[in-house]
Amino acid sequence: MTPPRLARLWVRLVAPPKLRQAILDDLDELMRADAASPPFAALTRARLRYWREALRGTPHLLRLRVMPARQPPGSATADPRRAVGDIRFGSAWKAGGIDWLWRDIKYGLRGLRREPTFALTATLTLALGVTTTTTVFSVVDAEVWKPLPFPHPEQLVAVYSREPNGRADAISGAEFLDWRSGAPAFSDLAGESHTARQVLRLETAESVIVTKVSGNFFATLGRRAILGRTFRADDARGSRPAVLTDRTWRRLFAADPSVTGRTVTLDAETFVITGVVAADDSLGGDPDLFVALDETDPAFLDRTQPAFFSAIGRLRPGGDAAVARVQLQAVVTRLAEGTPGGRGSHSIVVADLQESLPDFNRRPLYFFLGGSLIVLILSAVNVATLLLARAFRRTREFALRGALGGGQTALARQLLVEGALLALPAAAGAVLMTRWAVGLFTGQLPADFFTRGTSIPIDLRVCAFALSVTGLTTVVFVLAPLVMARRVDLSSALAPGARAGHSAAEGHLRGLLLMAQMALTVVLLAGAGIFVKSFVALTHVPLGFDPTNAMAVRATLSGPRYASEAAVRAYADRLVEAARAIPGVQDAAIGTSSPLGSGPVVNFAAAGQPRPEPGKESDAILRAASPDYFRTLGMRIVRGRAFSTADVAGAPRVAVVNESVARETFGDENPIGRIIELLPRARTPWTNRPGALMVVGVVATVKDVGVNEIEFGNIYVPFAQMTAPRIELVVRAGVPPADVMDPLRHAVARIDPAVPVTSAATFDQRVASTLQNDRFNLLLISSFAGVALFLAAIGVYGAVAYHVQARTRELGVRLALGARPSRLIGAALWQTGRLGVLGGLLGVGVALAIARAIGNALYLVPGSHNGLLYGVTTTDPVMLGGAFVGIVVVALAAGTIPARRVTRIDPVRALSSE
Amino acid sequence: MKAHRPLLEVQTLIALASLGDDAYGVTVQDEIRSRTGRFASVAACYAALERLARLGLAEAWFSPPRPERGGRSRRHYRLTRAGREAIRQEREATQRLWRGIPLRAPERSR
Repeated sequence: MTPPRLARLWVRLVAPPKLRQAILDDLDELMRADAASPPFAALTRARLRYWREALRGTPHLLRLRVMPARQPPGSATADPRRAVGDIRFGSAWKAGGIDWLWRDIKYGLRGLRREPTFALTATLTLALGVTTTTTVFSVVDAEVWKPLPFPHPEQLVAVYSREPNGRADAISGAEFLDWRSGAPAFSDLAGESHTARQVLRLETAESVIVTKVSGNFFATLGRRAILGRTFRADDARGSRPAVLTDRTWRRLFAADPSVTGRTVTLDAETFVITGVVAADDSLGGDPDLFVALDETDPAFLDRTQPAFFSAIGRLRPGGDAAVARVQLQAVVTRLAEGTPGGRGSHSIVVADLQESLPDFNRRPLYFFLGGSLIVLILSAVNVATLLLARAFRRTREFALRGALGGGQTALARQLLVEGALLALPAAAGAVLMTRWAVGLFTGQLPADFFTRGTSIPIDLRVCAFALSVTGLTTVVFVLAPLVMARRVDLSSALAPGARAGHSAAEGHLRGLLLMAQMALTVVLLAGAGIFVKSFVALTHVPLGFDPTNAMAVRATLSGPRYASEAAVRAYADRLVEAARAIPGVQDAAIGTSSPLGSGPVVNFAAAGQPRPEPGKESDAILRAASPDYFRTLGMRIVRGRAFSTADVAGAPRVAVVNESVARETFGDENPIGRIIELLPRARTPWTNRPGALMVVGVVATVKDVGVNEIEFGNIYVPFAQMTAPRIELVVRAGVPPADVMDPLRHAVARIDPAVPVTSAATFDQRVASTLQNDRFNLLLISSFAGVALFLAAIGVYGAVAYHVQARTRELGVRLALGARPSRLIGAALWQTGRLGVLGGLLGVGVALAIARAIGNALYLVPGSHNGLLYGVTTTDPVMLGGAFVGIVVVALAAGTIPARRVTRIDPVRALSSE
Repeated sequence: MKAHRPLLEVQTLIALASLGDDAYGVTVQDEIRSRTGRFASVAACYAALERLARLGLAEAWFSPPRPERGGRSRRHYRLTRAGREAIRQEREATQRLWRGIPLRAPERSR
């Protein structure tokens, strides 16, 4: 039985020293009694009781601390109220420790309670800005900054061999063993080999992702099993072990604790499950299963066979990556001496593991972090305006305090406490809202958005970030009155009828802040506008095929039954036949992949043209397709013909190329009848069939991976001539795809239940999912712009309201002298309108400057992975103009409401009020 | 005119009188609960005891070490002479307050 540590600490903190031990002893005694009492959950109840005691007792203890020892009864100050009163006003600024803090808090709270609108607006504004930034921060932190979740992540390095052209090259198993033994700077070096989809045979056939790793993979990273064990050193000698991730363990084995030791079949090989590890996606997505490579296998030791695509090293404590690099380079040079064409020209790279993770999400992340910071600045400006106005309202209070001998330190302390009273709830609110916002946004995220991890945790790092941002923002602005308080002229500030601080300097400052606010809002509005335009443009991009009512069902044929190409072709034929028999299906065909579904890439060259040097060959996505493929997908044949039933195995090899290949390879010449040559060493086995193909047709270029992409070359070959075990059934229906999808799945299962459907989707879904990233970006920047506009409206509203209130007397005089209210409203609006125009112009300037600074970083250009914008320039005049008009309209609208208060001013009351 | 003593202080005074030499946080809390049915946290009881001590109505004393491993002496409180006088006054004041009020409220006419 241990008391809750936090509650105990709390009691220690608030209890007066004299009573501390007595209270803690008593609480322990209560806890013991509670924990021993029946019936159930006694311990929980006891802990709850402890907390209740600690929290409910707190005010009593704090009051006791503030109250000094009283005089014995009979003396002049025996009355408790008088005694407390004396303290409050007498030595208010001299008392030390927690007493002054408590008093400052009480004083600050009283002040805020007097101005609830101010308190609420300031807190909410701050919370809104901090939420925006914290939400984006939590994403960037989880994706980029957070250290890898392994013991001593600073020792982990990525190791690879780089070709002269900059590409990372795979190494053979034998080389890997040489590396491991030749670099003593590493305490361990692990390798990661192929990741591939394989079929796991349980009661049903399941498609799983399998990664082959070296036996010391888990030991090097320091990943532990949550059930059973990971790989051991002797596992690398042919015992065929497999480790599950807990996701797979739950999905396929129903979290069965007796799974260890079970034998499973992957494709045709058997493996023994040794354990389960917690899924960890920090290195870019865990597979479903890990299997250990057999390091005694002749294929593994074959120096010509690539075995590992990446290696992860763990440096010895205090080890140096540079030393490790030199040691490895020596190994590589020594090995290269014997073998011509070896790795002699390669350079070894040893880089921090975290920094070498795939990072193509970083650019948009940083962009949006910048956007969210603008929102934060906006909210800070808003709060600054509010605090400033409040400080002017309190000029008299500060002057009075000064006159009565209150020092600057005490004032600063008071202001800081008041700032904290605003910042703490704002930070707490921001953390709560961030949780909500992250939940909202991750629901909208495309599945492949994350490169590290699959979720965004709201952890201590995020909370600390929210707190420090809020704290910093408040502290800076809350102390502004301190600077002004020095300049207050006592006699005028305390004079009867002195107006609650409306000065030219103040008006000037407020105007500037307001203008800055509107300028920043224009930047975000213009940004959002540009993203809207870009998104609209994306949805209108010609795809090169017709996605309406079309769908694709993907299946992988494996095992001895499909070892021969004839068997695969027979299966494909039966599949197409079965699909055509389904009511509503108009057309069906077989391909290896389809538009927006990528595919394996091959190198090729045109016959009769000079060969480019190795590494610079043209490449294209290769697809094998049945004769009806183009018709089914609505792809236009630009020239020549599609495949026919005559293009069978054994007949002359033919190909259809897309417009991109035709243009790049043959220029303006007619490609029909020309020969292209597939080059050897293609990575995917079925594509590795080098030889000459005659071009018989040219087909329209389709989008291959996304709507916003740089055109890919496509080479189509007859499925009968290049048969692949990974097939896709493409279907066009005359009815909504939902009606056909289930019959299609059943058809696949009926032909052979052992063939798993790895995916089934309509092309409309594919289009939607490729646009999901863009939709998410749009959502993000629009919410920034929305928040910014809201904050700007609040700012203008507050400024005009304050303007009217502070000048009530002046306006009253003018009304009494016969000024028309509409003219006074007009004058107030003229001021905000002018600020809106100035701020708007400034904002357009800033937006143009930002556009200039980021250049084409947001566009898809060769070499970049994903463009954020499409079909719009960052200086789009319509959107900039729209943002400008938008801010002026919002400024006027937000100003109208408080400006109308002018009509309610009663001249008589206004004149006699002060 | 004297100010009213806070209710918790009065209740603590009465608990002190009833508990004799066995008065400390837990027992005072227990006594108040059994007499009034109300919950006062241990800390609140100590605060009240300490205020009474400062007013000279109660005094703290330390019991001999408790007969257990690592047992410490415990902070106890007891009434002073002034405290007993204060209880008498409180009691009279309460009785004066209730004078003439029937125990059972008269039936309300419908």
